[in-house]
Amino acid sequence: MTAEVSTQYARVQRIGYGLSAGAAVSIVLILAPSNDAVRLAKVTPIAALVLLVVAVLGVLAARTGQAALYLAAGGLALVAAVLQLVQFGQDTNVIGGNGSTAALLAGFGIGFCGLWYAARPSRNSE
Amino acid sequence: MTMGSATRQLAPDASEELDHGRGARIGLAFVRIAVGLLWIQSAGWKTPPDFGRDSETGLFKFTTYAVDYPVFPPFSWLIENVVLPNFALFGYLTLLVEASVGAFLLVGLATRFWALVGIGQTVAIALSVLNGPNEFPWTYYLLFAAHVVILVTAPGRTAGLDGVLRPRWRQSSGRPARLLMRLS
Repeated sequence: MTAEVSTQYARVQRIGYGLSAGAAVSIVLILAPSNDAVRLAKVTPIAALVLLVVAVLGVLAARTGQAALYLAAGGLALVAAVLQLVQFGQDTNVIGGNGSTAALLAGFGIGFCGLWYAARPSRNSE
Repeated sequence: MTMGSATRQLAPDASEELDHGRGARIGLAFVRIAVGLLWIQSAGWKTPPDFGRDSETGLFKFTTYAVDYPVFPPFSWLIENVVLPNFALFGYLTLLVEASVGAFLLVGLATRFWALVGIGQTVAIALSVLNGPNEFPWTYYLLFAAHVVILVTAPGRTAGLDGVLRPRWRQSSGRPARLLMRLS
């Protein structure tokens, strides 16, 4: 492993742990009262479960360096965000919440999918 | 005093340069994440399908401020004649834009581009509500300023996706990669 590849691996791993911590901390928002001062995003029980799984997958990905695990974490969060958005405003919404729920899930989805792209071996390092 | 010694005396010391240290980088990442969270929270009260039209609340109420309390008459005309008659479409666009700005700034991907979109959205909001009741104009001026800071400092490169993706984009000769290098 060259020094450049090693630095990139460490950077991806650091962001991976950071995003996982962010997803885990977001779960606390489930306890936030319906008050704009403290509820930065509405986290429903299903959204909290998704965030928990995303955080666990993210930690595993950062620990092992497996790009596929980043994709699994990102894909799950993105699917949940899209599900929330397409059902938003309808009587039934599996994920629940509001636009902030979808935006938060989308953020983690985009983040982990970006890490998957960054973690794949580049042509230069193969 | 010779010209050479004057130049030596005027040469900037490293301590006078803009701070690029760890504290500055963490601070800029904090600003980026905080502004991202602001837009995420803001997406929370854009509620489809009518976005407050029937009850004259929420997004609809604040959009009508542009007509009831005009800031810039051409913008008021645009709202009255283009936006309000097509309010559902406008509502979904607003929700999508604000959720996207929030999501991308939170993780620091294509940060400069999304800062520009945030500036555009801030200007649109300011032109709608600046003269409205109980509004504090500096809310919007400060929001504008925060986006300018993000635009010029590109803080997605610190604790963000841009920082890990730019080396990949630099290796690529493709047009999307070159574009993303400019937008990040």
